[in-house]
Amino acid sequence: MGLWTFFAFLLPNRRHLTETLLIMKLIVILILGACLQVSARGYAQTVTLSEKNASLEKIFREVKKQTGYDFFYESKLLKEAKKVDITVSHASLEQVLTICFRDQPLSFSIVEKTILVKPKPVPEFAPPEETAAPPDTVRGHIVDEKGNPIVGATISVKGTSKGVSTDANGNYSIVTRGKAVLVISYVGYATQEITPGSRKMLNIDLKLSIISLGEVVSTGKMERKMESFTGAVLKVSGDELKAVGNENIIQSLKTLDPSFIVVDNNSQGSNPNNLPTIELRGKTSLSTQGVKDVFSGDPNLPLFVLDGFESDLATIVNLDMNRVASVTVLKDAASTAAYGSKAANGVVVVETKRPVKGKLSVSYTADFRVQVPDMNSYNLMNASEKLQFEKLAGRWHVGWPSFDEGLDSLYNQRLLAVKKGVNTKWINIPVRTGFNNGHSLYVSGGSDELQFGIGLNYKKDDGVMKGSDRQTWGGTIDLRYRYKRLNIYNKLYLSGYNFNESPYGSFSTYAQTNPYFTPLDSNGQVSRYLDQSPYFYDTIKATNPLYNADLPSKNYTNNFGITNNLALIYSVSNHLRVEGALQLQKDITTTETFVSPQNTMYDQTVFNQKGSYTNNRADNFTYRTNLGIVYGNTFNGLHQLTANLRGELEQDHNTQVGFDAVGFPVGSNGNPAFASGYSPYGRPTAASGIYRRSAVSASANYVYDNRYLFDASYDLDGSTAFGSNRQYTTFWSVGAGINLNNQFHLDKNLFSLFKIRGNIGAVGNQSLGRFPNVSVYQYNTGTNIFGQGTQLQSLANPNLQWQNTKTTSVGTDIALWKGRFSATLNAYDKKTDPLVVVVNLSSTTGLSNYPTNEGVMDTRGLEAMLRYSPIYNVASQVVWTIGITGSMVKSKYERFGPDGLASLNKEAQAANSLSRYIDGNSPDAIWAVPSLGIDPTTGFEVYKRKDGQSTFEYNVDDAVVVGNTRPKVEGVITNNVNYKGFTIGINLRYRIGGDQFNYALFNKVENIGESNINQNFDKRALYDRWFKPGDVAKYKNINIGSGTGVYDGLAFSSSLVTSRFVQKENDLIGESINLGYQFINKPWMNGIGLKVLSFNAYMNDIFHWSTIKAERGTDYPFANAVSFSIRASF
Amino acid sequence: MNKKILIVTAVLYGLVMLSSCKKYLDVKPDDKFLESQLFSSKVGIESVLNSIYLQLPNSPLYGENLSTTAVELFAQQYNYSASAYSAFSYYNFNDPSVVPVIDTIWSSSYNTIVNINKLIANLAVYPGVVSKAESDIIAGEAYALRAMLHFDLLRLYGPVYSTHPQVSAIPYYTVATPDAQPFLNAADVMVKILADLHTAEGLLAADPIITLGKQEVLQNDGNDFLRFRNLRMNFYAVKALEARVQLYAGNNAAALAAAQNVINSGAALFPWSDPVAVNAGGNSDKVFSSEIVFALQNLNMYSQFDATFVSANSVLAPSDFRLQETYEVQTGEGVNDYRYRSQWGGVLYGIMRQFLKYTDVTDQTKTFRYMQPMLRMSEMYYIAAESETDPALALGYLNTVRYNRGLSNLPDGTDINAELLKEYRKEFYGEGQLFFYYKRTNASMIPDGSGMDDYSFQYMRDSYYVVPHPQY
Repeated sequence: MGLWTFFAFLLPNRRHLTETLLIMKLIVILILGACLQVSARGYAQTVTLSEKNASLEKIFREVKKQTGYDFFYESKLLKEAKKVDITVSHASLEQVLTICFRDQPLSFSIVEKTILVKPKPVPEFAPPEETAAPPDTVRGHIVDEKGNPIVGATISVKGTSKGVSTDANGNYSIVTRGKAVLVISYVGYATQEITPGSRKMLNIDLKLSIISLGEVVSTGKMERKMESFTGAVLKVSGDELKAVGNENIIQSLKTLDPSFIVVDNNSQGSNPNNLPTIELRGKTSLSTQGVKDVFSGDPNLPLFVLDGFESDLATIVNLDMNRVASVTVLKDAASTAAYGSKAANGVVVVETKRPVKGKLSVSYTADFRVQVPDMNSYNLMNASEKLQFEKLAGRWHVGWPSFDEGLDSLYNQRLLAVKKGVNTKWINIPVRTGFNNGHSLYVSGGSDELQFGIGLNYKKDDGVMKGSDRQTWGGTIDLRYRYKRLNIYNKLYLSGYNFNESPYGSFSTYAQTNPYFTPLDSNGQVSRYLDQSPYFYDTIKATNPLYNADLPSKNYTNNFGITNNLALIYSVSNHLRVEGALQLQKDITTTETFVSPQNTMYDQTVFNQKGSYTNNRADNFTYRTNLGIVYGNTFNGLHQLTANLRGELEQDHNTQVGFDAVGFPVGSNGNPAFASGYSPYGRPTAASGIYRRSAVSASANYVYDNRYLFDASYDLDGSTAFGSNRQYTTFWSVGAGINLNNQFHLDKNLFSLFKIRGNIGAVGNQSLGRFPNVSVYQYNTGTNIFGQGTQLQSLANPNLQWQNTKTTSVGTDIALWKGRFSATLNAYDKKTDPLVVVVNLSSTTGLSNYPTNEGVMDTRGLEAMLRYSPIYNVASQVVWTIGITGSMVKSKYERFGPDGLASLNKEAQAANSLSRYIDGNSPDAIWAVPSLGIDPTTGFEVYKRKDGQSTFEYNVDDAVVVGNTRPKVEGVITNNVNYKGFTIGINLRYRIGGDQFNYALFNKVENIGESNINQNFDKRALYDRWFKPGDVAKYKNINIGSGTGVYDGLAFSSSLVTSRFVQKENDLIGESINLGYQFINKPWMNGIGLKVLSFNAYMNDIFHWSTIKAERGTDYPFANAVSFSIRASF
Repeated sequence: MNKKILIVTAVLYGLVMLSSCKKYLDVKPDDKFLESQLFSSKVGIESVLNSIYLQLPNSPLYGENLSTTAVELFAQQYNYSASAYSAFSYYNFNDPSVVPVIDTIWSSSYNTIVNINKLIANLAVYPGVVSKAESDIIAGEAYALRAMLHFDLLRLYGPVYSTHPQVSAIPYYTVATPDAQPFLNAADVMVKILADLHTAEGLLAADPIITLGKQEVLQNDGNDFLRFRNLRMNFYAVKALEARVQLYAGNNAAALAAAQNVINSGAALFPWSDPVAVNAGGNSDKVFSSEIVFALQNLNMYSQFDATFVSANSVLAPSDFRLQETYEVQTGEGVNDYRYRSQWGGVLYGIMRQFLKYTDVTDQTKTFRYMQPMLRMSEMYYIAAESETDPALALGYLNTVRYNRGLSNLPDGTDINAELLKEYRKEFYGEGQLFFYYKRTNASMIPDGSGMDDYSFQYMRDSYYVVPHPQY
């Protein structure tokens, strides 16, 4: 009862929680009380009983409750037992049992902590071997494939009614007799039958069963049985990830979990050095610039946890996939509430492999990957088309005879070149086929007491832009030591990466370069300028992008990190475990850039400031430590309770220092020693921040008879991010579920699992900037005769509240026909109330970037994962599985009020942005002025005003929602065949019902004017634009002439954001197609000591079919990849 | 069993220690200051006031826009053929080159005002950290600076005061608050400016400048913060500002009284410049530093100036004709004018002369380096001359200045206002006062800086004089 009182106390009641310290004390008192009771009960040596006419079973239960001793018997024996009258006080166990068994046809014996009940010996009739066999106690340790102890596994003697279950450390002890067969079972694992024979010590490794629904979920803080958990989680194994692709965890995980979305980065494409943008179940925060500070990241990114400690996206992306044991995606409050203040966007828990005991085992994996740039989305004009376009656009006609003469001759020069066959495909110049390779080695082995593992990995990715590459490496030493009740686990991890950005710069430069220019001049040299018009009025001067690319340059980042995780686990008793862990981490990242003084960007710069060098170094030192208690017990075989209490402490110290230098000699390689000085009036940049957090979290899981499930968790989180008056915030969750298959005793052959679960809770977000609630000052940048000045940096908002996301989630897990069909369905609602918004107040207040609470963001969604195997012959390894996953997410803003975010909306309008912050609308909505198309008479665009009238005049206030970038439904269709070791997997991503603003149309079909006419454009600019009155065209007048400049004709007006550029997007993407074969224990392998040899081949993002024709990968192209992976284990 | 209880107790104790330590979360940032830290020390409070003096000479305010560029362009002081600035000279306030400038003057002014308001409020919240005497001086300077900033906002964004004092002008902030304050009409703003000046005058009654003078030497004795009073909004600067404000408000008698106060009691402190110092070649005191009642020390002055007037692609300067006309070079007066001789260089590109007022000097020890003039004695004489009803006395004030500029005395019966206009044009080049002179007098036509002949004028109207304030 003590524990329940304790958890009931922890359920949210804000009024009680204001006095932090008081609570802390109370928690301690309560826990101590609870534990004392548990211990007292477990170890009482005397019995007090008062029963009249009680059944023997009832007495046994009572005695067990008081002493902790288990009874062991066949149930049919008790049928013959007589009722008992007994009244004893503080009697010994033996005394009590003697009384109870006095007149029974039964006898008892006490072995260890078990009371063995058997029929009174009747020598005449009993078979001799039965009596001859004395009771034996078998002990042992049950572990899973990774060597982790399994808690709560059942060990029973075949043919008897009762058994025992393993304790918190996976240990058991059971009394057997004679030829007894032990049955070891655990949800999700294959049941094993073992005859102990004469063995007294029996350690057992359980293997995962084919049905992988019932597993243990690691929330990173504690492990829970999937079957009894009420949270929405998805667990995938390292092998499953590796089956999808060999690039990184993130890229594979997106295929496996429909709610885990990697947002396409159309600018950075497949740049290996670009970190992905990830959303898990939609957005919970506004991601305007203002909410971030120098050390904070994306406020919609999920939290990553690696081996029990918080990690960051870069580490996860760089992590060697071959070392990953499992990844668990925690999506809702019940699963994430233990992470409290950081859990609003979900948590991704990554566990790496642990050393396995036994003889030295070596596993080696080689990965190869070939990437080719995907240029299919580019629809650029060729040289003659471009020249024709220029002619039609009016570039070669001014209307002033003296100018036109010159223009004519220049045009003719160009025409001559085109006729001669000049047609440079610039986009093919900066790209290449990228070859990547990776190697990973892991050696492990050891005895029962000491296990070790050593891992090494190296990977080199060559991007598809020339000169862009990334190298990552890592080394790890795992040690695991077990001494009596103490487990020590230490992991030392060294890692680093280097990356170079392409010296070719942005890919868009090449896509823009005119095809009628050649990169080499008549002497075969790379010319500095492609075009230097001799006419002063033709001010366009095209530089040769190759010239700059060939100059010495540097854009280089180097990282080195060292992490040590030490974990200690001490088993106080069979039910109670104390755990502590410490992580130390140091990370150094240096970025250097150098631009040659010869670069054409310095044409207008004074001689002693040409060329630039920047150096930026970021240092990070983190320690994290935690200490906790885990309690787990089963009462009467019906009540399972696991509980966990944990305290954490964390400090993160970031510093950043940078400087820049200018003025380099021609030919310099970028050594800053050659700089002529720092940049004029420049000063070093520096930032520093210490972040600290301390938290206590508690969680409990109660299961009644494998039928009713309850979860509760509570987190009291203190952080420097909350400001000094409000250091602590509380987060909580409660959940419940029911296993319908157990409740209604559904046919086991049909229903292996039918669970309904739901939970609700509140979680927070710390990826925002830190907004202190006292005003903060900083030094002015200059000084004067009176010294320094300190200026108000931010005015405190004492009423600022932290973002709180209330998450509700319901779902069901169904497995039919022994796992042949499985389904998981989830529905959720995440309501962030209030939001933290950084607004620019009225300019007269003198305050900008003022943090305040405005509005609410409500995100709702559905997820489904369905799987069915038309062929399902597990025994002969022939399985064909088809599956589909899908997710739907809708977000909307609420309660901004009519002018809550007026300043942000004004900014958005001024910047021609597609987004607005208006109640009832989605953050993904596209706002634009509705267009009625192109007027066939004039070639101008006709807009629709708010009042429904048509007009030629563009008014940004007429903007309405014209689309939504988020697909209505998005997911993956899978098709997997496993035939005797051969596997084929096809994963196709579909996206239906989204809209995109097509920037290719906006920038490269329209919006062509004097300033950019010298660039290359989309073919549609030539073929689909209005040309003469009467043309029914999608795009406006081809003539770009301006009234005031040198070009005649119609006034050029730039195209503005209208619904004309918004298009429906339905996509089908060949995300992963893979093929594999595995050799296990073939005769030929034994000779060379090979245990497993597997081959995999993949094609990733091999096609991308879309209903819209837009340029993909503007600054860095996307790549199609083919890869291979070989793994050998010795 | 006891051992187990012990372990569990120890762990729980550890948990509590881990998690409940409030002090652990009390991290002081090392690259910024919390308000409570700052206002608990004398140095901290002084640095907050000093930050105002560091913000004012930045380029959005008196470093450029309100001294050498925007307001001077509005006053047609330069040849607008310099294309980067032409929209200013055309009063094309919606032009993309002009909008950010008028926005930044507005927002930087109000941002400085927030800092001032925070300082004034916190002097009361953290009493006793500095002595009462020093607290009064700091508060006095802050009140006067608040008045000055609002006054310049009123002059720039407000209506032409002489004709439309009841028109909505600007909000007046006396507290630091995120709540936007209402726009007040110009006359109400004027009342608040004068009230702040009055408060400042009272608080600065014991300003050391009155007893100890400017003290243009640092002693390193811990009291240097109260030296160099001419680089601070001192008692006389408050009076001088009051004279300027009263004249703008049309209260000529009050303006005269304030100006006379500065002329009489400040004469010894702010003596006329020595022609020798002004004409000292490479070390020429081109800003006439001794006469300056209040200047900002602008350490970026020479680089800012260099960027606009020396090495820029489009150097700011009037046409040579206009310059010669301004300084009356044709009549022979100009060649003797100390200002013309010291502040203007040789002919550039055959058409214009280079403005040299804010170029550096050879001798790096000169105390007048980096001085950005805000209020000077000559203006007091002009104000007195304009508001003095006795023509003889008025002419006397005017001739005093002319004498000290190397010019001859004007005869009786001279049109004082016409001569004053000439003086404002000569005296305040690069000091941002001329546009406000035109606006105050509601001049309908003003000579334009690109003019090549006597008939070249910019015709003015209200919409040119009233700069639109940002809309958000």
